[in-house]
Amino acid sequence: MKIMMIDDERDCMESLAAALEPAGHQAVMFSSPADAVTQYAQGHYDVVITDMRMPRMTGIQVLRVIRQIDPEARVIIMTGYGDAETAIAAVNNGAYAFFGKPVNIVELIEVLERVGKEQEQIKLSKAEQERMAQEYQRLKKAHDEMIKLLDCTRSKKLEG
Amino acid sequence: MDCIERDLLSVIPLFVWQKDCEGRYKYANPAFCDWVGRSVDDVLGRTDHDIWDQATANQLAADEERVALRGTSLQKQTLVSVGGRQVWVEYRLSPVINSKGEVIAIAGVGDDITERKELEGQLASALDTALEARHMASLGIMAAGITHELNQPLQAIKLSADSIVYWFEKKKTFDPKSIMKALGLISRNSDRIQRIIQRVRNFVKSRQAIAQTKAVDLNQAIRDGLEMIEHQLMSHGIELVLKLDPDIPAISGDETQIEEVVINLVTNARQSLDLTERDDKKILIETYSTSQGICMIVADTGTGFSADALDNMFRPFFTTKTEGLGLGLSIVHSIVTGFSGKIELLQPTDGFSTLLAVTLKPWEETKESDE
Repeated sequence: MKIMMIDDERDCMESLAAALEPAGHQAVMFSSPADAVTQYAQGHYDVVITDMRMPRMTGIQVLRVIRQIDPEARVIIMTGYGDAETAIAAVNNGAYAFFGKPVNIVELIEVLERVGKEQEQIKLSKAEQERMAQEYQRLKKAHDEMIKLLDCTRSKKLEG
Repeated sequence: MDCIERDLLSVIPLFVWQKDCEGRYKYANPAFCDWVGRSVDDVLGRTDHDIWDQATANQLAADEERVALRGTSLQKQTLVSVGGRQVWVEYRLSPVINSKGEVIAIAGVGDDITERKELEGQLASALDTALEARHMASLGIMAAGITHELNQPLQAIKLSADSIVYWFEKKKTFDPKSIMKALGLISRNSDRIQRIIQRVRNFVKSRQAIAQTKAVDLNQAIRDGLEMIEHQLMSHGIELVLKLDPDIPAISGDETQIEEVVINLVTNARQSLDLTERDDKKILIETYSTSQGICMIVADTGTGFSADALDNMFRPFFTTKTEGLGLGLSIVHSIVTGFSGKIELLQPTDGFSTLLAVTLKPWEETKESDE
């Protein structure tokens, strides 16, 4: 997965990126939340992991801006201050998950796996939907042809 | 000796005596006789060795010899034994000189200062307690900052270590390069933690002795103080601007206490900035020399001071904030004035809302005035 990582603490971010690398995740790191949100649209990120308290922008503000750009965006918030207020704001603004610092790496990897599965599921159901649509078109065509054929036979009978 | 003088000497609550050059008492007033527990007749004509214990008598004899030899008076505070009781006494010995300039007698005036000494001791210990309380209050103010400063490197260390363990258990092979990178990160962040702990330890240790005034590099003290709280500023979205003049002379103060001033002022500014919604949260620390001494400016774009706050800003426990006890500025004030410096609130400029100026004396100047 392609992950957008936002934290003003470079070492924290690097250790997190390195921890997720063996799972095949690719992290793109941003020390400035303002830079991150302006570059979000071009990046095609699967998930965003952001710190809460940063210069000029909070994690909640990052969450809001990104969800405005992309309502389907999955944003995970990390905070060193596990206060209820932040957690409530995170949930109410549509955060995907909320982690206290230090982050429990096992739980974070599980959450990312869930994101992966969901995306797989979405891909599958999209393919299924497309297949259904095609099937429907095929059936509809067959049905129309059958009706035509029936009509044809009926009118021939009447003539005879 | 006329009547008035004699009356005066008999009622005065000081011990007054005179001895000839052989050390024999020629006069002793009633207060002296009461004090040593002898009648006047039992004092006159006797020497110190008859009245005092060996050590006190020797000490007095030595002092009198000095006074007789130099022809100048001598003042002293000492502990003597009177009737088996240890007593603090302060005495002044003066030479009695005849018209030829010869010393013919030694006059003494003394006072029992035991009670005063005890009070002084109590005062010193009260002052010590007050200083310790002030120090502990500063430590309390720093505590939240320190937790944050330690939490960040700990987070990096824990993540690095945990992930290696996790992936090893999952049988994932690790590139040795990335393990080396993780170890480097662990080591670097352990150093950071150690530096912070060392700072805190120095800070706690320094309370044990009343600070001595010495030459302090103000710019260095600012940087050292900031090391304990600057990451906290970053995570509160605050930009820290340092304009430290490298050419300022050393100030007269105590390193740890000056750090304490910096920490308290910056924490105050940070708390004030936390209460604002503005985007340009900024703290400026500037140093420069003036004709009055070395100036340190701490300015912020926070909520500023109200008229009410202005009158009370240096009073302990006065606060306009929800966070903290209101001790910061009173601590700063007591430290700064303790080093003959001053702290004042100036008219803020350049978009700042609070501008505090601390002026401290340069080291040389204080040294000269002491001499």
